[in-house]
Amino acid sequence: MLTLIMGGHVIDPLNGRNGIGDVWIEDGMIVAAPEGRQPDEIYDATGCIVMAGAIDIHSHIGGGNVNTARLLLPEHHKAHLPRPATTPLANVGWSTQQTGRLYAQMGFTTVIEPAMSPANALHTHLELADIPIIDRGALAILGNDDFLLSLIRKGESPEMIRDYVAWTVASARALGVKTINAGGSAAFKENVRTFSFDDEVPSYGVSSRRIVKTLQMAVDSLGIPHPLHVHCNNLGVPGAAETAAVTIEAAEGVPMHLAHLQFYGYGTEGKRKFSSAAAQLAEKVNSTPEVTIDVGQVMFGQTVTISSDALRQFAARGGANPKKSVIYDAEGNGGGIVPYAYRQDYYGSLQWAVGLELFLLINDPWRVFFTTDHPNGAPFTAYPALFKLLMSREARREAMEGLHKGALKHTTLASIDREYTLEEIAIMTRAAPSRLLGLTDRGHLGSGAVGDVAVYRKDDDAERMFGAAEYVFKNGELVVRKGEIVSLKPGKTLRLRVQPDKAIVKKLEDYHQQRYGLSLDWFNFPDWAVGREEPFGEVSCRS
Amino acid sequence: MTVAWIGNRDAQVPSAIEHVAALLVQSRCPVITVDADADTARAALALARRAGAVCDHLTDGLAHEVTLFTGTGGVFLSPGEALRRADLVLVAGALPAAAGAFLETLAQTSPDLGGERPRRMFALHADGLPDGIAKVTQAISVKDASLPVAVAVFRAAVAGRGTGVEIAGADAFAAAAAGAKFIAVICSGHGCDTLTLEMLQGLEGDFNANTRASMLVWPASENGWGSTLVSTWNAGFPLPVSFLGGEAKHDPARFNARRLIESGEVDVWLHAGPLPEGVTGPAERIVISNAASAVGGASVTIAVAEPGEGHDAVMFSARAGTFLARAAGSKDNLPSAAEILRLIAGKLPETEAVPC
Repeated sequence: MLTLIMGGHVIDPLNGRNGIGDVWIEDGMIVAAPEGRQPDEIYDATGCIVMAGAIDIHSHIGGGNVNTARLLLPEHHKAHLPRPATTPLANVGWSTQQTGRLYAQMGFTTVIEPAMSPANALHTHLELADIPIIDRGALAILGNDDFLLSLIRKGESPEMIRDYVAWTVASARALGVKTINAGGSAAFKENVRTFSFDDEVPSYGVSSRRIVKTLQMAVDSLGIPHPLHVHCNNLGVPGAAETAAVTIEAAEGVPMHLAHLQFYGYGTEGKRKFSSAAAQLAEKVNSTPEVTIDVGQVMFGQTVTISSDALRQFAARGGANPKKSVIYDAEGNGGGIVPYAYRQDYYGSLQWAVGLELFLLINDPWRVFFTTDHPNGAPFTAYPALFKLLMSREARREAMEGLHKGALKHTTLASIDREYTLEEIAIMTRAAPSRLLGLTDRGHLGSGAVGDVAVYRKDDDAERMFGAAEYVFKNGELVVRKGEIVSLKPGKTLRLRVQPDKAIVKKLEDYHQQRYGLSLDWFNFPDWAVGREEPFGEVSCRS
Repeated sequence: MTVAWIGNRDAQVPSAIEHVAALLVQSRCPVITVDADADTARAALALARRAGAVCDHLTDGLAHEVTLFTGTGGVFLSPGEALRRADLVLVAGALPAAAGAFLETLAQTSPDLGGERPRRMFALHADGLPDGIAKVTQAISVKDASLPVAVAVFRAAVAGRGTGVEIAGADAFAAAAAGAKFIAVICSGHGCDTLTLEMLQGLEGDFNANTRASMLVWPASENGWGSTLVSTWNAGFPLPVSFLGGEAKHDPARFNARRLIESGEVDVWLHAGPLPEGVTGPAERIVISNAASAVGGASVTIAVAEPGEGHDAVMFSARAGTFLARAAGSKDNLPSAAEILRLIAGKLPETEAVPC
């Protein structure tokens, strides 16, 4: 099957295209314009923007904590029933089916779940496999697990730690490694209630900094394309900008990705001791080229916070809205689910502004990534509204009129004129994620890329334009037409091709038998367990 | 070998499937209950969606656990962390028999995380503990009190409030709690109703003000909890979930399968898994289980392999606290329940169901 998407405005930063042109797809892959052949089908993209399918690098779409949030908040699901939009929690929750449909309608074709507990990896993959249309991937969480902390405490070799990380990535079918409040959850289980970058986990004598650096080196030496994905300590705390800054400094020339930086962009100025430190943090990022970040933008309304930062979530329970929450003490991180409503009050206004400042003050669109940390800052369905805010200072000005003036005084947002171009949007949501994750087969429209293409009808209102794609192709097959789903073809979950060392497997088998009375089958599962034909796609490490 | 029956008559599987599909199409209010592996739960939900049916599990205690989560939440614990970290264990109410081996392991070991120290175990109205565990467990009891009353009085006593009721073992527990680093409360919907589970969360919350405490909920049914998790991500709701009218809805009372069956509200009841005892009603019964012969009173019986025994399966493990893959011991020629459910779904029209 040869498909031609004809005459659209093609924006493909990785291949230097930004103008009217055609895109050809054959047998699920992008191909160069074939000479002398007629297409089997033609889609007229005149008056449309044509981009590769978008990639979301950080969205909590599946796994134990996500499902516990659904369990805690059945009222969420009402969003997708024909009920009033004002129903409490009406705009946040959905099933796996809805997740795939809603992402595809916006032109997203690959989404990364950033927090997979290795002990719960099969559960995560069962959920991810039930998300239709889009491809998925997941980052394995390390940094609070007894095995790793014990290795560090004993001063084991970098090679052994690297082998352990490789085994974790392989057994969990992960696309990378994330550390979440490194050491913080382990410390919380020993009744520690605050934990910073240079604090030590009591029974191990190992600091958060040492855990982060150890994992960063292991990830780098394994050639895992995505740098260590770091959720810093002290999330949401006034003054957390300092924690983020010292973590950025600790990158020390080796690639590191900081997640949802907005939640750390807070200073301690003003009578509320809660101000924006986004400008300083943005400058820190600008001057540290080995660091990439995603924003975790806050948008107003009801949501639920889902995090494997059990310490932070435990502290946040008092702000739960509605008044219920779940904290889970488990191997490694565990986690917490706390529903929350972002209001246009002082705090909500400031958080909203901090996120936008980061987007607009970090100069390089290749190093700042588009996320709301779904659903923590806002549900991913808020993306189109966020695109509009980034692309229009007038839209920002209008939005600011309804916000808390005192909060905005503590930010630089009103003074920023920058407007994202469509090319910068394409970089941030396609080209840069492709590069960051090592997904060379997507995020662009060059020959040999998978046939993931999003076509948007041009509209001055970016929210309307990005909210419902004119066409979306997944692996060359039309899945969305005029914003409506036309096919629910299953996608794949992307995993790294990593071969664990046999010696570490034996060591881990002994460890789990002795400590938990369980075999490694707890972690290792055959592909058939996912219950789908060919559930995984393979991604190579750097050679 | 005969693997399907229509009534008491031997039947070919395709004929039995056609018959089931016809029953579901004609049904004004069907219910599907499941007691099996994760893939069967997926298939049962898909069939329920197609048939406009209610999907549920028949273990009563499961609803107490689900309601704890949907109602209030709490602080919860994995079995592995309980084993490695808890230096004080409170078993509250009766647990399913399947928890026995884990309790025995707890009783025979000491925590190794957070500093090595001995583990002490107490039991509050935890009827039916195996002898080996009862021997090393100090009983806490309130004479003539029900479990909810005992928990309420115990919580007050531990908090230092006067109760006017004698609570055997409470002082010893309070003394142990004062020096404990990590307290595990182990309970189940099997032995605790929702109110009791909530009160135990309150007790745990009191402890968490100064030390660490967490609750290990041992599911009343492992298959039931696994199916509930599958339903939660698949339909957006825990069991019971109804697709009557086409959209997923959750209402633990209205869509309680046992109530629907026993009251006669449903006219077709399809069950996948070992047939539960004591559930009866006037509905036409379809049984998909590891049966050797036609199930008495069933309109259709289809024999299937045991998950994890006759076919590879993913099952929820309370011991691991998550789903595990179980390779078949010796694969037999019978199909899985999920395969049969998918074949039935394939025979149903794709139109949305008419509301019950």
